[in-house]
Amino acid sequence: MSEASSKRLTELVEAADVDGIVAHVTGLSEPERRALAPAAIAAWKKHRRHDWIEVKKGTFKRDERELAAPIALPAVCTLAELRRLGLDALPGPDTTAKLIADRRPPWVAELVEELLEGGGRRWGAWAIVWELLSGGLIDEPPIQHDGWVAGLVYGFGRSVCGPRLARDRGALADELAEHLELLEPTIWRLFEVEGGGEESLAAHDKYSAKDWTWIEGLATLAERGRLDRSRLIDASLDALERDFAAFRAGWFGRFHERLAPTLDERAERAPRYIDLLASGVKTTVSFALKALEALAKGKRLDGAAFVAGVFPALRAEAKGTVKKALAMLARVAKTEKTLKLEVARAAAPGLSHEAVDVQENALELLEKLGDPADPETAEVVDEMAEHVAASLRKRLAAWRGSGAGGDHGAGGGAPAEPADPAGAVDAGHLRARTASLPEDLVAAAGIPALLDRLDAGELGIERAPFAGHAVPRLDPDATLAPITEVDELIDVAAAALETPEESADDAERVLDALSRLARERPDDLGKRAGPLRKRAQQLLDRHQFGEPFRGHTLTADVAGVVIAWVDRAWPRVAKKEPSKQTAARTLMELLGQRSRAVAARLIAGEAAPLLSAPTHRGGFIAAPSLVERVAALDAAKREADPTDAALALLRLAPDRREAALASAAKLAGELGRAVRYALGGRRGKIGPLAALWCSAARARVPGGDDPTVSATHDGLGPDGARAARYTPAIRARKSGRYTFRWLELAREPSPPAKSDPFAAAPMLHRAGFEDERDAPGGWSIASYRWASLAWPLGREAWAALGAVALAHNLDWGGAEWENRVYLEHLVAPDADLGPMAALLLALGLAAKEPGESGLATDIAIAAIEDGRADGETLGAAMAFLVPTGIVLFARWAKTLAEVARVSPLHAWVIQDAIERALPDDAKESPRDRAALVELLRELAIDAERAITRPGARAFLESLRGSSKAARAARATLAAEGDGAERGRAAMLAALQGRVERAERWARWRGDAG
Amino acid sequence: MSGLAVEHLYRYDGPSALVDRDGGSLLRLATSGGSEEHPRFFAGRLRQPRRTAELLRALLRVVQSRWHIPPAMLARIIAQADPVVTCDDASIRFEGVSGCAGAYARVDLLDGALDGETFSRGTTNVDFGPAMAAALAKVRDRDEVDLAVGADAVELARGGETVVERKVPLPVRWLKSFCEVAAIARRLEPVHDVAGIEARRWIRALPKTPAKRPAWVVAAGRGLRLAHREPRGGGVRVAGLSRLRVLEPIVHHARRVRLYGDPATGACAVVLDLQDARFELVLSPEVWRGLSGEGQALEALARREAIAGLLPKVHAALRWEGMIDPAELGRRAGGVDAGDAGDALAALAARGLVGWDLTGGGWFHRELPFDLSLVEKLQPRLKAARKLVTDGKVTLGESGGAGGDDAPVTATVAGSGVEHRVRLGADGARCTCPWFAKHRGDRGPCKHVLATQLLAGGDGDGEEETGA
Repeated sequence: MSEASSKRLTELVEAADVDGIVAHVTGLSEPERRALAPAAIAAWKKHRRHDWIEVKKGTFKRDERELAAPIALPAVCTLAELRRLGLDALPGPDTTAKLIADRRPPWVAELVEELLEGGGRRWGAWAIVWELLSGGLIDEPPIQHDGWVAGLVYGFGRSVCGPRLARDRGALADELAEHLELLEPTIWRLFEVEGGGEESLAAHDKYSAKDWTWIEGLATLAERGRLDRSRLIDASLDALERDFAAFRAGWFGRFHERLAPTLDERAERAPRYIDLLASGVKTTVSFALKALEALAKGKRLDGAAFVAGVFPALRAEAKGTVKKALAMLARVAKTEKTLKLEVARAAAPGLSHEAVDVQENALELLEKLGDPADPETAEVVDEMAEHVAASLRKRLAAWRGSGAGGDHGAGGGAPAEPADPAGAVDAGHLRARTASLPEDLVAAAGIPALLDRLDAGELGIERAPFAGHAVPRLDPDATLAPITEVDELIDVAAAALETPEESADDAERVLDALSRLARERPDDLGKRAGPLRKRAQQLLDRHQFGEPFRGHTLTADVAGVVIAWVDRAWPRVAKKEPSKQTAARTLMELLGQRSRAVAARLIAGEAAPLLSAPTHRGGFIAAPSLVERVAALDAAKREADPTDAALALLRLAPDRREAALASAAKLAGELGRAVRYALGGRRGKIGPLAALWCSAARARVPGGDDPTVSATHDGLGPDGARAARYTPAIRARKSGRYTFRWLELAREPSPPAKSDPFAAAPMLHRAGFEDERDAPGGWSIASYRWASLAWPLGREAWAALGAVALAHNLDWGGAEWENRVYLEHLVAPDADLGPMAALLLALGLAAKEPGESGLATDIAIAAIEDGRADGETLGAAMAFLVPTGIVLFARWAKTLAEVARVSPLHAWVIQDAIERALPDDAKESPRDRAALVELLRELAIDAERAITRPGARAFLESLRGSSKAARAARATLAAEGDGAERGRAAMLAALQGRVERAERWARWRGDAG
Repeated sequence: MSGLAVEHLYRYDGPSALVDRDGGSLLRLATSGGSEEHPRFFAGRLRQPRRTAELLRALLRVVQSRWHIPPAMLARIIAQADPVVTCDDASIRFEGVSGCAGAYARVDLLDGALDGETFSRGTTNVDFGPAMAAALAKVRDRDEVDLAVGADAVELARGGETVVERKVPLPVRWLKSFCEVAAIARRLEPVHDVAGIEARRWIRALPKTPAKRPAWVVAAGRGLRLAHREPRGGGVRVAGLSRLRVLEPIVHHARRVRLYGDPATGACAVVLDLQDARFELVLSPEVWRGLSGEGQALEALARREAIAGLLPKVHAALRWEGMIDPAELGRRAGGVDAGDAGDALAALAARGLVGWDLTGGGWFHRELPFDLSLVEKLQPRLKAARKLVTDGKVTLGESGGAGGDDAPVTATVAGSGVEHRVRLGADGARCTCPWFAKHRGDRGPCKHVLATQLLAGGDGDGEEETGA
């Protein structure tokens, strides 16, 4: 019998006969049910997947057996079996409830508990419980269970009203009214259970039609007298007191207001509103303030209670909240004169807010109502005084002074002094240090000009432009030690594979070592390098790193050469050897070309020096090292790899070139001539290898034209024989409501249609906007970092690419994390800030992505300290961007304020930069001017340095009216003084930074005394 | 116990609650486990109830947060873990670890914050769920609030409380974090010390969107700012900046704020100093890394063999000190040298028996009320290392570790189809495995290095130790 019954059940499932299955498992005894369980479970397991059946070619329908398979489960399985299958396996709520009602197992209560515990499918589980409740299988709603309460939010609509189409059902209030007797206890619990994810009142109402929102539903029931309105008002306040997450708490505030409490009802609950000012949820504080404001307007606010409880609102982050609290304090003081002193005391903490206008409001209250002699007020004010905005310090000091008879003691409202006053710098000592330094380095650091100004009593700081060969670049601490042992090679290669983003230098060391040590293959190499070989293959097999030697990733190239070394065979990816060499178009492809050459030598067992291996971090090659490598190549009578040779010249550091030139006299062939030429040797015969000679020209005159090479090789474009020159322009295109802006760089000479596959520098100037953004090539940040080492002296070209990339994504329309790499190179203390680098920096300071704008802020701080940036450089780049509409002033205000607060030197340079950036007429600037003008005001007042630049004054004067920007502009124009004291401190700080830099160069060069 | 979690039974003598009492209210914290089933530690008055409530709520926010959900961890598992409270001779400390195991927080209530009577000392769990947090949100400074950690039997009988039981699977990752955080905190060095108002401005200025990369907190004027590249010196590296936002609701209470960093591991900590209370937050080096995975305690665990004889004596000499003086402890333990007592404390920390106080710069006695006898076994790396030794997969080089103190120890360790080469020298350990190549020791030694250490150190039989 049981076998036949099981067989029948299986047949019914296969026939997708839902009604038949229900009939088959109804009315059975428990043993009969249990006998069917294996067949039911087997059928469910067989059909549980969402399979689709092709009923005719190209037409699919859902396999209905998948719907039929779980039907029998609640009728035949034990609770333990259901648990194992997962409660999600249960069929629809009505079927489950019907079958459970028929079976009446002893574990219904347990099932309910577990259904409500489960997450994810809670509304479905809720519906089953609802059916069980409606069917009388459980006595009352499990209101103690949070799952039941939270499940009601969606469960009611989906299960109780779900079978009916939305157009056929009434408003939520009407539907609820029908079941109110059963549901009312649960409704009250809604104010106690926060819920989460989808299951919250806030989430539900956000995506529901108005008449189906819980706000409207409950409020309507209250209006109809079906729910206790007063209790609802209190319950919403109860919920707000629970400090639910802001999004969910917001619902209760909105609901409270939807109930529109009368003035009497609000007055009755005034203490609760005041308590809510201490809520940790910003929206709740704002809600409470509004409620109290309504009471104040209705003259029903207990001023004393408000003043006593307002403190938490004054420490809120949202300035609107604090301003409102201060405004209400002012109102209280107006109506309750006896509270004046208390109001002033209460307002004092407002001085600690970040926003100047909030501080100003607090100060106004103090001035109007406060007593500076009151110890309680004075204690708070004195604690805040040094954190108050510069524009308010005098006022605050005056107020404090008025109460203390002009002697308010230490810290009593005195203007804040910089934490690290540059005035402490000893000018005489700096001069003495300068005297012991080599003249060329002193000049390169921009010291003489600064000293002249100081001597003449003039104010002003100009950057030290040290492009080209003027300064040493080889920091002895940044030397890359060549790998000499196999074990070390294995270690470094393994690290390069595992941490590619930090391993561009190590990748170069690995290539160098493999190239040199190709023949050194200890007998146990396979064993020693076995783990590395295995890992390299694992990484290549992941595909995410691409193919080796195609310019995809650093990881693929390192893995490729490692395998070539160990196996003496080409690496295989997906059982295939690397694709054939194609002409390089990007820097990464060029590096891949070089890696392929190294791999070929490894397979052939040919050792040779890698000419382009950097000797120092950052990609530089010490000139004597390059001469030695070329000499070794000559001695071995080997031809240089053209990619390697051209790249090597491009990486030549400016240091020790004269000595290297002397030892390069005997280098043979075209490469030998090119090396001598790159090192500054006599102009002679230019050979036919265009990439090689163009690299030599870039090494010889990094930022200038080389007419000698140009006469023979003028076709490579910008940064070939002639240096690139840029004309930037911001282009705009409207698309509906949006305007897209991007930076276009016209270059001179024009980029050729096809780049030379061996010439790295011209590859940075690809024709066409999209091509230009793809110039570095590669698939990852690690690739960009590696590519960026190609031409260490060519930072302007790299920065130009970066400016284009950042401008294109200034508002972070896409996650272009690699763009950060463009900025990273400006961090180096000797990276010159040319016009393109300054433009990149100005764009970075306006970037939306915090990583980009934060890095740009760091760079600006460092560059000002180092003497690389001045107000003119930065101001010019900003001035170019201001009228284009591509930047927001508010973002600049934030980042520039960060820079300015570092030291008086930084503040000085930033004021200078802002003044230079402002157009003559405010109409030519973005509309969010107020923040930047406020920053200028604070800087000018703090330094006691009036705005003197005519353009900036014209800009400020063109701001008229009562707008925030106009008010700030007037205060800025009113700033007085020549800034002599702060200016001199800034200049001395600048001098100190420059002397330290020159001393560092001298140490590097071995000139230190 | 499953492979991922250890079943822990919280059995409280009633629910924790904030109840009205004699014109004020009583914050009654129910206790579970430790030296007794329901220890009673303290009863007295909170001097600043609102502030204490906010600190405890901030702690709870950390405990209930998951800034990252490890793939192997079910989201709901850890939501039910309760904080731990320690009553020692100087303070009441509440501690907890976030659900993702990447953040640790502690509230220290010092003498001035409390006015009451200490009945006994020890560590226990306290029932502290969302309902408690909601109740604490209602506490105001004008309220008179008493605090009771544990209750006496008479009180309970009168209240007619029903026992609250919860069986919670505590993920091993979480338990290990609780143990290892002391080893991480011990390495942290103070870097910044700023006024509370400056710290508040800095916290508020943190990026609102989650940052993908780590940042460094550096000094700017008298305050702090974020740098997005490693500074030349004096910065604290922080990854997962959003984790610092838990400080936002309480930072305004701080008189001073100190930041601690460890350049080697990248972990960091922030301590809010409220004069008579402190809030300490320790963060893992990456948001996706748990404090448990840092491996800083592994060597201490592996080293236990060397000081195994001392551990019971040193453990027995602990007296619930708020700040342990290793020299004094050594004396009490029967003349143990202060250095050895320090090593023993480090080993005890890995078993959850002492914690590290950043402000005091020393150990404090705290015995985590969990079954931690399995923690060592649950250290997968140590376990794997022991297995390598047991399976005879480690072959020491010629010196065999007997070449004198300075001679490096070399070994080969058989892996899957390859042989890893290990070298233990005065300059540190090295291994050819990818894990070592990636972390270079900053997340503790790899299993091959550990195995070599175990074998070279004479623990060659691979037997697992049982008991402390």
